[in-house]
Amino acid sequence: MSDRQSSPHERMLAYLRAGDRLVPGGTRTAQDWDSLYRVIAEAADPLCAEPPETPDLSSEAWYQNALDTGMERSVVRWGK
Amino acid sequence: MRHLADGGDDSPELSRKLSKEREAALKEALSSVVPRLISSVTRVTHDYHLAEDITQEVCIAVFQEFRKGTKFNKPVIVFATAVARNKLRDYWRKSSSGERPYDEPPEHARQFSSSPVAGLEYLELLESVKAAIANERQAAVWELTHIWGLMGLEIAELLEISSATVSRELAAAEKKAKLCQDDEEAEPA
Repeated sequence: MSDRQSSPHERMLAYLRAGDRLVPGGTRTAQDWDSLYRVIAEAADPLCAEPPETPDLSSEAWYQNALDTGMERSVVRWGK
Repeated sequence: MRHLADGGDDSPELSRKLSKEREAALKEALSSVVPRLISSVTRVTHDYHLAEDITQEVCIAVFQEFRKGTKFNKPVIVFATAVARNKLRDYWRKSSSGERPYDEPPEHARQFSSSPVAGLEYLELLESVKAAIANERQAAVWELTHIWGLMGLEIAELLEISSATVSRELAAAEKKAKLCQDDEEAEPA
């Protein structure tokens, strides 16, 4: 289907569905969670971690921080 | 108790230990946030391992907030989504400028073979959706629903609007985003 015959909504959802297929199935076990928790706790240790990120959760910040703002088109040209 | 927008006591000695209750609340929050973030970041990047990295960074940020005693004014997934989007943007910016993300040693540095292309494709698609919707708030509701998988109440909290407004804006956004170019040209003037 060409771009003229499909909508932006359909094209984006098709792209996202392709990504969904890359997520492995299965659930984490209690052991997996404990392991993840330990890794995160260690990395978040205030004595060695980088200063925490405190994002602005206001609605204005969400609009201002849109992915396409502050990221010029040239910035997302990869490689050559 | 520290609110997210407030200051707080960040002294390491006071903030290292979590109470049993806080630890339980943190584990519950992480068990809810992790699968959702991995899923949404993988959808965006088409790179499961990158999604795991970003999700782990977000979890660390959540953990640090719990250690500081932050009382989340909005659902934790809203905080996590905002951090994830910032980290994804930083990742793409760094990778495009040749910096190594997450201070990986050179031998482990991520190869930008497929995900950068996916990143560019994603940004172009998002731009086309936003252009079709042509309304900032409606586009934000569309993005939060379809890309980040937030629910109506969570979007309402983030954008500080009512759930009814979220539903209305989503319907309006979808109506416009679902129009294809042929439809637009066929519409009477």
